[in-house]
Amino acid sequence: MTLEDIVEKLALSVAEGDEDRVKQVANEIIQRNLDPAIAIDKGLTKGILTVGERWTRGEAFITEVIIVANAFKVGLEVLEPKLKEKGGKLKTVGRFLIGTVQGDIHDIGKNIVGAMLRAAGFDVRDLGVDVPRDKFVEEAKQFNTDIIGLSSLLTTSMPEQRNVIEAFKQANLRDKVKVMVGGTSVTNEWVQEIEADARGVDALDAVKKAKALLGR
Amino acid sequence: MRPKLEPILKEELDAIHLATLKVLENVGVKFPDETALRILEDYGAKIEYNGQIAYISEAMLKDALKKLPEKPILCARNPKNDIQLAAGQTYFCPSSLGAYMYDLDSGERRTSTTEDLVKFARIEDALRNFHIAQVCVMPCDVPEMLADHYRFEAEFSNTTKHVIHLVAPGTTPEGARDHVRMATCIAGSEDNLRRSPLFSIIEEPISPLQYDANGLRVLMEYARAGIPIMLYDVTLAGATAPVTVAGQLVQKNAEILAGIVLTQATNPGNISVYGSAAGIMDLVTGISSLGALERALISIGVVQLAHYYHIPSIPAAMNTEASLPGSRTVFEKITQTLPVIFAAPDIVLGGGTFDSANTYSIEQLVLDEEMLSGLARILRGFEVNEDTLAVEVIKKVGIGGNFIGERHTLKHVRTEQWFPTLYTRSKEPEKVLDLATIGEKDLIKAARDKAKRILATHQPESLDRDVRKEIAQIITEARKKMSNS
Repeated sequence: MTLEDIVEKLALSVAEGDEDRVKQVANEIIQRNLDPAIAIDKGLTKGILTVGERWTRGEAFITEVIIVANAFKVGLEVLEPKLKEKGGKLKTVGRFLIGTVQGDIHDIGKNIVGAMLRAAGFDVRDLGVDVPRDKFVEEAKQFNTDIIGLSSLLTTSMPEQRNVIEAFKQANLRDKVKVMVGGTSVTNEWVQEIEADARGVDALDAVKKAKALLGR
Repeated sequence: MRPKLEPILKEELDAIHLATLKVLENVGVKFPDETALRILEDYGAKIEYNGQIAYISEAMLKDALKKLPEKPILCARNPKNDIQLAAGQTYFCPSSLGAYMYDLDSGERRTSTTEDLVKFARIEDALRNFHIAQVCVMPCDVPEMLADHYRFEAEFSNTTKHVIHLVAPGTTPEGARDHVRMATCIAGSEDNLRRSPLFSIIEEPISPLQYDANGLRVLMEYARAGIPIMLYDVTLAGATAPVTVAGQLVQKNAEILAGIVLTQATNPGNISVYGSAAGIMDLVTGISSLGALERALISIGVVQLAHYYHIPSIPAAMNTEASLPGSRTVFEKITQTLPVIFAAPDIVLGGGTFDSANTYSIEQLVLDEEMLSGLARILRGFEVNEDTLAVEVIKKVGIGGNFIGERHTLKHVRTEQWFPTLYTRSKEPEKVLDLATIGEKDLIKAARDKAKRILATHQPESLDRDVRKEIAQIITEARKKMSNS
């Protein structure tokens, strides 16, 4: 099997959301000492972009994208360490740090947006739920993120979005990251009031706005 | 699980049946045509020739019901579109006979023309949730006597679905023979057409309790050729029928059953279908209302009575008095359609109409099809089995997880969830906050765009060129004959 064949097989396995096969093919790539950068780019990323594009056109269910995004993650866990070992860097549309703010443990919307961003070619780090503001700042530094995404379903936790933005200001990082907010109660007025950069109305809109913020 | 509504009790149906027999035997039904009266007399009816009234006995009714075919099929130019009646399925067919429509481009209300017939037929061919076709409008640019000729030509040439045809008032028995000849051109022979009827007709009694002479002659003409006959009263409770639903059902039952007896006496074994477009007269304004909510109840009665006699049924629904698309239109259409669908009729007739079936629009036809596709989803119900009970995936996801990314979700989402085609459920709060831009205007535009897309791209399976010529020739001859007489 040539490099092209095996990379194509990887792309297909990702697009089918077959985690076991993705793991197996990715390991084979490592064993045969093939280029992890090509495997990630033409295999994993190609596989996830296919379903992402279908979803953007309204032809795929979120479910498919999440299944595929999970398979993508499994593949990345195998291939990324090798890439770093060789001094390579992940090619992405941008880095996106996402989490549900402190005081809120709702994560379905955030998970969907995270998966959709992955499917659109973003490198996504997900901090989970009930994330303290300092953790956002720390992780943003470490991850060297382009955008932070602050999720909050509850109106009671919305003020925490403002607090996180304040924390970035205090750490002199506000001009280094774009801030997106999301959640059912979030409005454009709120975005202006807390001086965020954009709001994702839904997952599709979030992906569009994230790309726009980075000029993509 | 399939939703099923059978609210009328067996003893209530028996009571309606017995009351109907009293009306048929004691009041009778007027058949103002010598031939019809003789056929009924030969079949056992007591006839009063002066008043042209036939008194129909229970024995005659029983005999006629025995003659109904067991597995009636409404055939289509493409056999894939054949409709098996009495098989527990519900099919949808648009409504018809409007003289007015809203122009698809200008939005203006105007009389309809032969050009519109083709457009309606092509759209209906493309819309999947109309399983049967019937062009919604009457052409007002041709002589009334030939209106049906042009409607048939448009339908036969532009859709491969079975055609139901509410006979226009101008159609004569000779015209009916022409229509049979037109269909024979497609079927190949009269026998083929008799075995596989490509169209059905709808005839209406003139309530209360009479048929009109021309309508009867036309009905018998079609029946002799083996064309399925659907009978359809337009009783208006409080005006042309008793104001009580039960009384209206008794009277309309008598009218329809009398028509079925005549059909079976004329051509034993002919497909008969039990219909109704019954409504009410609004006794405050005097308006004949086909948008009446009472139709929900009347139509359930219609379907349960048809089941009682083992006759396939075709209640009318999806109607409104409102003259434009909008909230009232949706309110009236859904209210009178959802319950009757649950009563499990064979066909529901309706779609494309406003203004108590006087005005139609292609946009509304598209909107109605969207509604019907949603109602069909509800009607399909849900399955209960080990896989759908989902214990495995509930275990796997566990407490506090979610099901969005599960294979089980992906496997079932297509059949479990209904997806609209004219809008998406994407959230647009900016718009929601601005009342002027939301909702109906967007939806109507989406329907118009879809209609235009269909007209630009959908090519119906074409009819053989020689057959088209033969059909056109029949119309030309009919025109000549008309101008000579």
